[in-house]
Amino acid sequence: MGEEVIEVNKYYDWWFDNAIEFLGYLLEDKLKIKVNWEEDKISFEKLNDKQIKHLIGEIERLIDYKLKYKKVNKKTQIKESKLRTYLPAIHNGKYVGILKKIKEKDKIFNTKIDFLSKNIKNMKNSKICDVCGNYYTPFDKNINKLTQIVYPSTTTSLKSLCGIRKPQPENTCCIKCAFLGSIEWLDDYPFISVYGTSSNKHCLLFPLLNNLQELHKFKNIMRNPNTGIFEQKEHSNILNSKSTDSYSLLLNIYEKLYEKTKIIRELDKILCDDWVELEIKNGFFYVKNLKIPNLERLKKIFESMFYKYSWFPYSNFIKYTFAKPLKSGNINNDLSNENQYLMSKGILMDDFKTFAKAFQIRKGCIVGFKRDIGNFKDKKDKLNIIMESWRGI
Amino acid sequence: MVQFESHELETMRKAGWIIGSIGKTYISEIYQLDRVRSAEEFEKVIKNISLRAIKIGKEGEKCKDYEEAISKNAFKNLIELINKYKPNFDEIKDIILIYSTFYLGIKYN
Repeated sequence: MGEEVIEVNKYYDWWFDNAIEFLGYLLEDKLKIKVNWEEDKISFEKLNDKQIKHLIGEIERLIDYKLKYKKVNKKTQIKESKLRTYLPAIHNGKYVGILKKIKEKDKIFNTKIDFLSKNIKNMKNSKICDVCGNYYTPFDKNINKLTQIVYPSTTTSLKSLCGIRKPQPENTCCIKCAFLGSIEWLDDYPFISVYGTSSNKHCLLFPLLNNLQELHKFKNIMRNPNTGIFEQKEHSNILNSKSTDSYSLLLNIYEKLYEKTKIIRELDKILCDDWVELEIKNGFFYVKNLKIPNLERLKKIFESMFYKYSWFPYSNFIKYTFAKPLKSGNINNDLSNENQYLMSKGILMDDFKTFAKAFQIRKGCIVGFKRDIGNFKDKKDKLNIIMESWRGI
Repeated sequence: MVQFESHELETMRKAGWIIGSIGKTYISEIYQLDRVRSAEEFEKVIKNISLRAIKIGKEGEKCKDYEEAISKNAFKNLIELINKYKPNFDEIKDIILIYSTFYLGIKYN
């Protein structure tokens, strides 16, 4: 019985821990296999051929669903399927790594993804994986190479750009790491794509929780259709989000979680305050940690706004701001986005100085408010409530 | 971060409103307020602004919020508040700036 249980241990890394959670979710939710969630590992009974085939089929279905989006062609008015080309999963219009090979089901499910069906032991003629440190037998150059599809912060081309801590271009990984790293791109994570005049930016957010059990619980709350957070869209998968930076996106997510989970009363016990932001800009990947210092204050602001008036700071206030010149002129869009970023960051990070900076007169522009926000009294009330709940006793 | 009493926030709100209404004519006062680096300098700028307020009042430009603030001695209370929280004058400055530019933003243009 002991040999029949497959254990996948935690990597203590944001990317692979999320991937393990996603694998557990696929097995539990789609394949109806009982997964045992523990703090530092998941375990499940070994999969048979039929189950692995089912898992591969599920991943194959998700590849088209997650890595593509529907867009209406303006000329022909026909819905077209377009690739999310900014992701490293696609190169020259084709999937790479495991995602490409996954279509060769017959070859792959018994020989390659063997960690799902048997416990791997140290083998002769084997190499050490640079990610997990286990021994493995190399079989395919393209899959064993540690590329950006396996671990996004890998710099592949030049060693001199890698630094000391980043993975090196010649690093390799085992099939388990390659499989987990590749399928994480199909996970449900909040993201936005901002297409600006100078450069395009894509922000992906991943929750960072030390306990796999809690991570699974939190991600399941987000995935729950009742919370209504995720929706497959062109530039973002968050419902009704027009945010242009990661802080606004995060504030928007918190608001939605707060609004929905207050009803089902699950949020009080678990709320993730640590996130990892993966920013893709001009083909480069930047990883940043977003740590919310004072979640209690955020809850206080939400409570005072939502209970009295059913308002939220981002959805009903920040979203409607823009930067207008003191004298007549056009709206400054870049400054509008920057102001929204500063306001959201200030509220999330409990940094009043940053919030106040958005209201400074900069570049001859001042904060204005769209008419949708309400009349003069409404605008005054909204700011007063934010200030009272934040700065008042 | 200092947590203020509700009447203190009310004082700052009213002072912010009146500075916003003055900023329409004298925008440089808001820039000056933004640049202050000490509590003494802050008081000095507030005194200058109160002189501007008297001038505007004399010229006959009337505003409802402005009158209300004047009647309740908004600037006098504000100076007391700055003296009370002298080491944290920066936070009072930020709150006043938010209110004044907010007022300027929604009332004019």
